[in-house]
Amino acid sequence: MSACDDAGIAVTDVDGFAFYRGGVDAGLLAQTLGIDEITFCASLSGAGGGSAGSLGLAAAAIQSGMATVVACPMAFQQIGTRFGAAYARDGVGGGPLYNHASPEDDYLRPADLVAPAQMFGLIAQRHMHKYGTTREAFAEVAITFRDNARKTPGSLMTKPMTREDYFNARMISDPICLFDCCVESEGAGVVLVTSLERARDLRKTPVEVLASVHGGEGDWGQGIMWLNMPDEIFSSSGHRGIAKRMYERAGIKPADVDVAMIYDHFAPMVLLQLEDYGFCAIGESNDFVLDGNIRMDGAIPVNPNGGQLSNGYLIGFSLVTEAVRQVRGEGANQVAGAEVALVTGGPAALPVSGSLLRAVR
Amino acid sequence: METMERLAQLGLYPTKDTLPFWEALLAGSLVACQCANCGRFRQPPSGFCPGCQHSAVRWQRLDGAGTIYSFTWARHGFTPDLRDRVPYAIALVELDDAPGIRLIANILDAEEGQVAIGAKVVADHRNAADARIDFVLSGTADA
Ligand SMILES: [Zn+2]
Repeated sequence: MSACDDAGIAVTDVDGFAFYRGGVDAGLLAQTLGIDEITFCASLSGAGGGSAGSLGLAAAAIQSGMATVVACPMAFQQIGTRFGAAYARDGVGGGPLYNHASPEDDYLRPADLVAPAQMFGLIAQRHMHKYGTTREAFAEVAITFRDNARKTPGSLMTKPMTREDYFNARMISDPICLFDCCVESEGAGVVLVTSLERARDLRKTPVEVLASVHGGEGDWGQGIMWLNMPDEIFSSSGHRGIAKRMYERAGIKPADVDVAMIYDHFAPMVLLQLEDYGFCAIGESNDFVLDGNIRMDGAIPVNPNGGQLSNGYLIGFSLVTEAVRQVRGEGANQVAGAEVALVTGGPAALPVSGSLLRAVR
Repeated sequence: METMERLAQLGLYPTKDTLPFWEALLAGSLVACQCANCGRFRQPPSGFCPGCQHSAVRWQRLDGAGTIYSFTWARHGFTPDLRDRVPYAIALVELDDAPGIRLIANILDAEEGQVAIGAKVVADHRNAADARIDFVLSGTADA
């Protein structure tokens, strides 16, 4: 409702829904909101990898004429075993990503590999070995985002974090420590997508979807649940293919991006996405980050709202809504003059996703 | 059928494509799924080669020697039954006899600092009856 008020669109004008990670029940939404008829209803497969991609489904529906106003809602409530133990086989019916009937998942169990933190630990450790990446860079990510969260009302983690605090934090799964992990939470968000023509007449500055892509390379496949990716892309975020396609479709370069909302379930994965999205060369994110480039006054400010590490974890969607705020100039911790925003989906099993948004003024 | 029941007790639900791996593991050995057409190994085992799109499979028996590709020390007990187990070492092990694939394994009997990328390991079957995929160190990491 508040998204409709914000845009100046009647909630009954919504005729489409686009989701990711299972989404929200479209029938329930339609009956609850009193919508005459739904003409488009689609979801990206996979999990958090698609968080930046439901916008692309919505834009495709608008462009093809299948719908006129598409809502991309995300609501997240945690019941039973938490996401931290997503692949565990015990708990209430197993973790949220535990798949009882998957013969592939069987290969995670004989080594008690149950947690995303452990899986991303394996990827981060390889990156450190291959490129000399250090925990100092992970600390820079965590501390920068904490500083940003402190300037953003509603953030869950607002205690100042020093370098000493970071290195004193207990280790979860080497090299990932407590402060490298996102803050699990609950919440909801929604973005409305319509034609640019219609958006121009609405209340707020329209934001154009320059490109929104999803998918990814077969060599990445199930990613963290597979761990048999070829060495060339093992210590990556799995986003290289879609990043290239996204920039091509948008017709812009990494240097044209003013603010980046980067999926930060684990701090090391921010570094790997900085590489895959072309802000620095492959293997050079350690120095890039330590040079201060992701800070508010750096070359590419990242997650000015504090991201999922310190603001809150909505499986990526709070990054999407903040990207919209930033290009409209409405961020609580605003990047000065931001016109173009990148928002990425989770480094996860395919599909992964990425979007570029630009304010139309 | 007994094998399937035993595996189900362990929370494992193989298909015809993965069963030979688990049967071998329970019997105290490792095998890898290899394309009978192009020779490419694949893990997990499946009925289709991503390299040449053929479906014929041969099972390569492995001598168990391998190298650590990456590792992590699990220190947080994410579930009640793991709280007594931490810390334990999880590693991705590349196998000498099956280039191109990795097994997700535990490294047993290792001290902190000994588990390293590049360290030589060998399969250990003391927990074979529980279908565990375990290795122990057999040398030190190459510099
Ligand atoms: Zn083949």
